[in-house]
Amino acid sequence: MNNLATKSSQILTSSDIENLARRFGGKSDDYIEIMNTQKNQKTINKYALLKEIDDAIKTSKDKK
Amino acid sequence: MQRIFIKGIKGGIGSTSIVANLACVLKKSDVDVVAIDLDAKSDLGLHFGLKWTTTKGWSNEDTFEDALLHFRKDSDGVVFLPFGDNEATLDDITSIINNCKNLDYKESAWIIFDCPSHINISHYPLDQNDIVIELVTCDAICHSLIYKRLQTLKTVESTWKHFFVVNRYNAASVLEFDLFSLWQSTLPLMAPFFINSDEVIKEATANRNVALNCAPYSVANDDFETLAGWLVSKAAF
Ligand SMILES: Nc1ncnc2c1ncn2[C@@H]1O[C@H](COP(=O)(O)OP(=O)(O)O)[C@@H](O)[C@H]1O
Ligand SMILES: [Mg+2]
Repeated sequence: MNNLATKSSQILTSSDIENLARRFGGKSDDYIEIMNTQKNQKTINKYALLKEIDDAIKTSKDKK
Repeated sequence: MQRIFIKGIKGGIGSTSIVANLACVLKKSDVDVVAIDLDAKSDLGLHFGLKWTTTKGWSNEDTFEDALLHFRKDSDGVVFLPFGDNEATLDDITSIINNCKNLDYKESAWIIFDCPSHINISHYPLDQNDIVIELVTCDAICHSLIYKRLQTLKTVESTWKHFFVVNRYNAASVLEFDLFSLWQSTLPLMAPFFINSDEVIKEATANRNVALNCAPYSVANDDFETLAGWLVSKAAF
């Protein structure tokens, strides 16, 4: 027979709650910002045309 | 009247399809909508059930008075003006845009222009309440075109509300995912959603209709409702 799952729920243990708080509370915006920047740079490096445009824009900014 | 100008950053990105589908979604929510074809391909009418043999439009007339005779209403109540089969200069287009201001509509009405991709939007008579949507697809050429556009937008000191909207998004493509994520976190003026690539859009056109009527529960129709809602919020701003 198929055991059709029904939902149930439990209260959290204190270590669950600690985990939750660590996951949602801890990180600062700066940290997310750095992660995004790294991810974006990775994408740019992955594709030659994006890299070329990125380099061109950076040099034109440096000149100013 | 709220004016919306929709154009592709390059050709064939979907401006005509989006004008037609958006117009019908807005009309469904009781907004009066007027759609004006500014593209010499003159295919907007086909999305609104205009007869294939009806080839004339505003470009065939010398005065706005005469052009008025070419306005039509589709079965959803959207009023539209076909381009016609004559040539039009930038001056002609400019004067149609200006003359449309004199149409007798309520303040709450929307007027949507289907703009050709090859004419630079900064040549149009735009003001600060106008919304310009430049459609892009998630590919490297559009990446390049967006950067070029951002540079020119800086120099013309655009006063209108300019946005880039991604159309024909393919969720199965790694490249498209990469580009969409990159654009969202690095580029200004990017709308925070995309319009998926959906066969419904082509099929609706083939059946002389729009997604709303052919497939109201489709991804495409959902996306057009998202676009309409987002535009309403941008218009109020
Ligand atoms: N989101 C989409 N998904 C699938 N096909 C699309 C989409 N948007 C546009 N198309 C198709 O792309 C083609 C070009 O669209 P069209 O609206 O005529 O573009 P444009 O007016 O920019 O030249 C048409 O075949 C149209 O059905
Ligand atoms: Mg078109």
